[in-house]
Amino acid sequence: MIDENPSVTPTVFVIDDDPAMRKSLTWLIESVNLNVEAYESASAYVEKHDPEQPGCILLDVRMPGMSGLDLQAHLREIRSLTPVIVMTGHADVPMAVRALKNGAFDFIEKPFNDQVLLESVQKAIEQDRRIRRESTEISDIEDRIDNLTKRETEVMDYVVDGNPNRRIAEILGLSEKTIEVHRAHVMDKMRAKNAADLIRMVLTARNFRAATAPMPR
Amino acid sequence: MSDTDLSITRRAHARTATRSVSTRELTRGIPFESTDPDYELNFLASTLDALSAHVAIINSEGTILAANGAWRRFAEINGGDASGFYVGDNYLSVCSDATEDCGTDGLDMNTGIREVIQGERERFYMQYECHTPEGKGWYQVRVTPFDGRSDRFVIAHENITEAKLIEEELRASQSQLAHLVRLGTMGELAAGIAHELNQPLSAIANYASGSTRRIDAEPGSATPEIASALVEVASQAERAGQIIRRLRNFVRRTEPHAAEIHLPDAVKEAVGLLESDARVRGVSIEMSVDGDHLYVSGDAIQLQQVLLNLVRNAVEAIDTDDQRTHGHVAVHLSQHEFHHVLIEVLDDGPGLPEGFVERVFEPFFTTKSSGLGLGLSLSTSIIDAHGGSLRCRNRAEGGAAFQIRLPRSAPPLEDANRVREASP
Repeated sequence: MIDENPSVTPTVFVIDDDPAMRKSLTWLIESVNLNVEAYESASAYVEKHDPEQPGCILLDVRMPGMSGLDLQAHLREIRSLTPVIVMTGHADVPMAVRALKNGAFDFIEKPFNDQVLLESVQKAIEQDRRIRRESTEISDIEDRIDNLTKRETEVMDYVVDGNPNRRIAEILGLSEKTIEVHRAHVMDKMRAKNAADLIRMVLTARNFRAATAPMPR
Repeated sequence: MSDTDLSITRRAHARTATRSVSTRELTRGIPFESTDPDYELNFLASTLDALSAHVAIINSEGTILAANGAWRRFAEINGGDASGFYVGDNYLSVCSDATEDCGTDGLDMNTGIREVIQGERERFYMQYECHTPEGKGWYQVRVTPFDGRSDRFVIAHENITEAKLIEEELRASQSQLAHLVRLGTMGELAAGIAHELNQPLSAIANYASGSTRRIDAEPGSATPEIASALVEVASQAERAGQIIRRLRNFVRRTEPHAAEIHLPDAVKEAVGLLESDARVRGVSIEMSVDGDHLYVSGDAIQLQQVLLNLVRNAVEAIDTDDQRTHGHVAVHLSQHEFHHVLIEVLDDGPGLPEGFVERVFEPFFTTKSSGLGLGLSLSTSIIDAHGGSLRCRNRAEGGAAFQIRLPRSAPPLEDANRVREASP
């Protein structure tokens, strides 16, 4: 497994109240050279949870105390982006639907084929990596947006909405020349190559925030 | 007129003449007011004759002194003059002779009567069985001193067959009910057990797969035999998980769910549940399908339950024959006149006993010691509800044949498209 940063090797967080399941899953997942951390309860995981640690969660849905679904809700609330694979011993369709609605990455029925499980784990880790990368990118974009003056932000929003300079000048009651100056500053501060690049950056940031906002419960 | 010639009514007459208070005592609680002793006498006589119980009075030797109408009729039916039940016959010797027919009951009765006669006990009571070719019979007998005297005794036999039969039936249905409840409990337990078993099975599969992957990553770390055995461990654990899943789905109580069912798949799954049991009993189950797109509309679980019943009956029928070491059950699916689908379950067992074919679908009819007799009756209701029919017959070549006929339904849309594409 090649990673840009070896100090943050992805970890599979196994959360299951059955010790035999924890140990055997650890044995299985370590056989493909992934890190495993096993927790006996959802609350034990929450206590140790480090949002900076990349990887994915392998979660038993039915557990005493904090249930798998409870943990999912909690993770959404704290805006954790770690993908969650839900495991169940029951062919329980309503439970699967709830887990997926809660944002589960995948749903696996016990006993599972090891290939199915490991593939799902690999995909979840890839998604986690992609989201973390995007997240860094988006933080950059957001930092640049924060550096704009109020007027510049205003002009940028109109540009993103697809308005030509003349129209923006009309709306804001300014000269077209002034708008051109603000717009040049925006392009410069945002490090945008052209208008299309600017629009892409702003929309990506907006979509990302919308997608990762906590769901109304 | 000797003592022994008296019928009970005349005897009572004699007593009322001397002690009329006795009849009053006998009729205590009945609005009976008369100063005419004959009227009292007739009342007593007709009351005793109206009883369904057989009542007689004997003396200390056991000689019958008097008998009521029911007793006399019983004597007529049971051998006429030779019965030994008539007035003047010795009842104790009849009881001893009866031991041949009724086991030790006659002997016990004899002893009981003697003990009352000898004053060793106040009264004697027993229940006994007396089965005749006409049917089963139960009786109870009471022996008490007559009117407090120590030289006259009343013997009253009562037919309690009806009460006994009801009692027996009640006990049978209670045990059936208890069995049903146990089965229901088992079903619920099975769901729980299935979940419990899933955990260790998953663990087994995980350990085996993890080991296989380690061996694969490091060639030479295990012999090829061990490596392939580990692959087997994982695949068998997975198979066990599938069996449990099927069982869970079957046991789970669900509302009837109508869908288009691909019959070969549904039948295969049901037969699969029975395969290991059949193998143990030395019975092979063979499934064959004749025709394409055998779909029916209905509840898959219910239809599978019917199949399970029929195939299990077939397997068990073969197994009841101790001489046999192996047998064969064939499950055959075919299309019938385009609009119907036939499922036939054929076995090479002993076939259905005479008179069985008509009764086999009746509720609580069973030939098995552990059976409830509900399987086929429920199966009929299920098939009826699906607009089909369930029949049975004996095969000319031996064994039984059960046939389900169901209305064929159109295949689901995606399958219909496949048909269209396939045909030129």
